[in-house]
Amino acid sequence: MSSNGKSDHSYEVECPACKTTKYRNPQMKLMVNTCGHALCDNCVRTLFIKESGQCPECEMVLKRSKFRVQVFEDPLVEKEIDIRRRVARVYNKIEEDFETPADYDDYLEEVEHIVYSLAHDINRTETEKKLEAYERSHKEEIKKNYLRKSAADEQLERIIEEEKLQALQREQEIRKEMQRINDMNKSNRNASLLKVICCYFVQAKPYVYEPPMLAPHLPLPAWEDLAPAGYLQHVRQPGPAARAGGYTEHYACMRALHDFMSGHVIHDQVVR
Amino acid sequence: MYNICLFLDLPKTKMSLGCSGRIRVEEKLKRYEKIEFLGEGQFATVYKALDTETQQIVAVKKIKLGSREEARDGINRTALREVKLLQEVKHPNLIGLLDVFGYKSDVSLVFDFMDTDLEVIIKDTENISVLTPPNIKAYLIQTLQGLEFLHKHWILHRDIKPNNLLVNTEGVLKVGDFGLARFFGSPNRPYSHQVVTRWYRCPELLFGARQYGPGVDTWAVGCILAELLVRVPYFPGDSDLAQLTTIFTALGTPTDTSWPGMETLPDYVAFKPMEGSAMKDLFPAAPDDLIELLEALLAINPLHRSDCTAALKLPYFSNMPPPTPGPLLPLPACVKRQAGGAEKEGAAKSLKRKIIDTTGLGGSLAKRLQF
Repeated sequence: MSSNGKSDHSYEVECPACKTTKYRNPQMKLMVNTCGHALCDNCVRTLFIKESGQCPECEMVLKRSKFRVQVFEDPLVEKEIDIRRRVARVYNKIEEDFETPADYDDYLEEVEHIVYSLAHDINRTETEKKLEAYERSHKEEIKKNYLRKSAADEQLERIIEEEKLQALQREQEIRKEMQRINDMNKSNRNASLLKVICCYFVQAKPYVYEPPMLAPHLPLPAWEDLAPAGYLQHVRQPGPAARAGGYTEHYACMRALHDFMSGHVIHDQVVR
Repeated sequence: MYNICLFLDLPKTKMSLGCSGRIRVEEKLKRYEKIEFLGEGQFATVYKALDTETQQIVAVKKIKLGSREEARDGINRTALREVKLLQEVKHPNLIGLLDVFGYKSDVSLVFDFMDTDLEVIIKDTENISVLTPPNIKAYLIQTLQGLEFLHKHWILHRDIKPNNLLVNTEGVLKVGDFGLARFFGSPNRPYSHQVVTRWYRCPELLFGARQYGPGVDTWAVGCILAELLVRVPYFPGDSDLAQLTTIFTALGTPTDTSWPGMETLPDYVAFKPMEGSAMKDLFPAAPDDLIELLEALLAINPLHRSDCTAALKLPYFSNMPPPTPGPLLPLPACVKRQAGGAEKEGAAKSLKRKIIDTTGLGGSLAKRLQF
């Protein structure tokens, strides 16, 4: 079976009642009950048709509903877990209930002793009686401790809930921040806007009017001098409509002068 | 017609419209490598292209031949206008016409490539949540400087609107679309009044003035300034009369004393006298120097309206805070500054242009072309 050295022990697991192994039925699951003896799920189904029955090995009376899938390979461990759970329900004091650590240690020692006795069937009846007696005599205390424990659990749960909520909020905030950074990178608008503003303050210079470069410079009268110097007398006077349209004889006069001069002046020198 | 070229120090242009032989044209076609299609209008198709000689990204506007009637006169009139005027002016705040070449009956104009325009910037409220006072100041200075240069060269743009103020990733604003521009200052030439997109059209044009001055452009700048402040068109009228009503409701109906001769304008209509509001009440959040500028640009009487030079000399511009340096100006979501120039999708809108017959033949209204 394990010729290639890959020995897999799970294949050798065997049901103590029907001797079926995992190799023959890979779907087989071993179940355990409070007594700690294993049975395969098929056997549980056939032997416990009724709600309760006896363990085929120790003849302990078991309930079908108490069967559960065996987690640990050693059924004794499973048994011990059950016992431990049962004992802990009765011996439910915590460290704060004792005056000295030594007292607490003694108490734990006692708990371990009971668990060991029950798990290994040492003085079983005696131990059971002792457990029952303790449960009866400390009824009030157990109840009180149980409530305290559930309160503490609730407190713990609340804290866990709160932490979960905070984590969620943090995550959302981080996501939002990431989104913001992404957006900024995408458009890069804010950053570039800032850059533009900075550059503006460094580079911008106030505007100073400079007359356009008109070439060549022509000896022309100023616009205001056209009328006083009599130039306008030689141009046809515009009618009221032309004047209302923004046209004045200055334009015609100035342009005629301009044209005349440009025809006779080359590079500031009047052609004679 | 006066020969305007002579008083400019520009060489009488290297660009010859009539191409001197086929070989040269083929060279030109090779020189500009098409990158992508940007848009199509009634008269032109615009492509983004790479100038293989200078490794510069440019916009190539290919003028369509147009109808037979138009083709009979040769090249499309608006294209001719753009070529004629733009050859003359070179200014950092005016769109640069880099090259012109013809192929068969097509004419292509090569312009500076611009990534977006002010309309996109104003509308992109999601990405550009605030246009700060320094930003607004920077846009305004550049617009006025470009226009001042233009006016000094006797050119009216006649179609100033956010859509035509092009902005590149360096934050340089250039006035674009010279399809409606023309020389001014001739005493005996009636001009069409059906110019300028209605929302930016000044009262004298709305009253049908046939002779006007640079005030038509500065009014539009005032409207744009107001739009930069409130992020929606400030005088949105859906007809010419509604446009006037909107303006007069806000600023008050002009009287014979505040605007003498207005009833002599061809399309004058008497309006119910309205008080209007003080600029301070229309823009409660604006500081006093900004109010002063608004009042200067949005004066109803064109003779009281400041010209660009006077406006630029107002304390608003030299006062604190200083204008935002170009590279720090905001860009709309569709244009990424660093992206290595690879994916500038806003480009599709940037060279939207509108080419409209403005010669008064049909008196067609300026309307926005949707690409």
